[in-house]
Amino acid sequence: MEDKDFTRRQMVQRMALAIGGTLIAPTVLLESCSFDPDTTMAGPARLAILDAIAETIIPRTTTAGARDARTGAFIDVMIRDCYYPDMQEKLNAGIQEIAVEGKKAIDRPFEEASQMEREEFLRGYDKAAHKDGDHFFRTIKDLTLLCYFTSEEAATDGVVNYNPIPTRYDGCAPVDENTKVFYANI
Amino acid sequence: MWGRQSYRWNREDFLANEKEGIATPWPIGYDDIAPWYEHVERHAGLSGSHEDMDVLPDSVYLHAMELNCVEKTAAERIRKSFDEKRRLIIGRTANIAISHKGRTGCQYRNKCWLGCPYGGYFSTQSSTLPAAMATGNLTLRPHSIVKELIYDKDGKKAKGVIVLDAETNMTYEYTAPIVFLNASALNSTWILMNSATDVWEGGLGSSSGELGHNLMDHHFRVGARGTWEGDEDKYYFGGRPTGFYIPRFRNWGDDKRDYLRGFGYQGAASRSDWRRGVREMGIGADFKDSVSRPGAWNMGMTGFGEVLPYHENMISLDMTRTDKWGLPVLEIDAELKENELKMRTDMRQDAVDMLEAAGFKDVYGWETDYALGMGIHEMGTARMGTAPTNSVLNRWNQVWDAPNVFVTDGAAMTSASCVNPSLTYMAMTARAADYAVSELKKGNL
Repeated sequence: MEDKDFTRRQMVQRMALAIGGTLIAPTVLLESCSFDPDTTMAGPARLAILDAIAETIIPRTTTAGARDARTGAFIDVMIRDCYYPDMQEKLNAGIQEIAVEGKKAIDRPFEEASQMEREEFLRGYDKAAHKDGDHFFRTIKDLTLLCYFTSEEAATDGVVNYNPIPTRYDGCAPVDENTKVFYANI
Repeated sequence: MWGRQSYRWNREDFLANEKEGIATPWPIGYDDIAPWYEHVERHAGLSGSHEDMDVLPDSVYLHAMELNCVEKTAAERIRKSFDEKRRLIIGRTANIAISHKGRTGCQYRNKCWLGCPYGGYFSTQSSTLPAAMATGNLTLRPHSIVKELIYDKDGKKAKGVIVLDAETNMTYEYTAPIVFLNASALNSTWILMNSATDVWEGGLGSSSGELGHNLMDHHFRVGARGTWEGDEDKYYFGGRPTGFYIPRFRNWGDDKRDYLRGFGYQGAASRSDWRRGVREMGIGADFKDSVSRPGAWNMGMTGFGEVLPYHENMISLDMTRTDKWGLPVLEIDAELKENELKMRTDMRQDAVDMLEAAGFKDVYGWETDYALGMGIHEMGTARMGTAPTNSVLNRWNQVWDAPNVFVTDGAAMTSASCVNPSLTYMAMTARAADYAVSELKKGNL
């Protein structure tokens, strides 16, 4: 098992090299990662706060939101299984800070606040993460987008133009106001 | 990993060592291998465009994939700006877009690295194993580690191989009139190093003093990137399994640099997707809508450069360290030298120049650490040559010291060119196999 995981991790790293790009997340490949929808390891309070943060970034509109895509559980698993301890600490401290400071600022638990209230509060974190790539909120946003935009919910709701078997390539297709990011590879 | 990029070497690639006095001359030339390129291309099924360029001879293609609109505009502008000497063409790849020899064409899923259930690209699983099975002569023996060749001192040839079963640790002897080593460059060399050590301390093929030496790869991880303004009304549909290719233009024709050989580029133009949202500021409904739409076009390219064969770039057996089967592991001692480092300056700057000439904005060159081997194109450690004194293999890929042993993977390479090597290994293997059969029938092996 250990050997198999090692090979897979190496392959992912090699792939990133070979395509000349960078992996968006996880930024640190410590262990092999798998999305385990069994969330029994994380308490309901932690999942609620993570879902609330993710939903603030990607809310439900006419299409599914981050909570619908179980983004909180995904972020929890990624933090637990895919980052080095120092990064885990940084992320967990940041999440804790949002819970505590958010409650103070909004005057009720962050996860119970309205979308507008939560957005108002997180805007400062987003600004800070925009300036500083090492800010914990950059990673939370990264994981939120990764989970949501590769989720079944985003695909089936037409948030992205998910087409697993395109069968053809058109290098010059027209764009209109409904054109969404084309996604063949989830 | 099989990246599927498939390019023929050119005539000069086989002549450069001799002309420049580098390492040792190739014992074969383009005309020796050209019919075998065609042979393997017809079997594998390639995608590419006919360009009629001396620097990058055309293969036999089933069809060509398409450049996207921004790549087409860039190709046009680069061609004009650099006086036809720099050309951006569609990448040549071992993907088939139409059915070929019972395999289904590419579905443009952009999932090649998972292994294609359609057989949309040439691979051992989709193509050569089924062909071998169909002969009725193939026996697959998994979990087999070839420890060494069985060398017959008196007959001066190999009698077969000793196989260690990776699961049971039992050893078995397999005998055969001929043996082909295709274990990958370093492992084929490892097998030779572990064979006939009672005759030659350094193993079979070491009498030349070249076994394990002249390790090469392709150096890369240097290039440029830029943003495109406009064409926002255009997008692409489907996942194309190749990008573009810019063939070598340095030290070609009347171009002369202060280093030898050259490099090509691989790259692609694309529109950014939701991933750009990580860096962009924004949260909430508008942000969600914005990042779910295609963003700006941008284009990047990475250079792939030729590494010269240096005797001191080498692998050897580390007798102090063994793996879980008690077998000695390989020690690798290799580095880039001045020629490659000088080339990298051009690889970065030429990419910047081309993107700027094509009209890209915010163009930046980049370079990251490269160590020999990262290109996963290991070559040269049991090279071909003109005499037993300068090489491990002769012009038919036979080990000089055991003519019924053939090595036809990357180990056989006398120089590296700058193009992806697999097609050349394939052609060389087919050529050597044809020769081996004919010699066997004549009773010469």
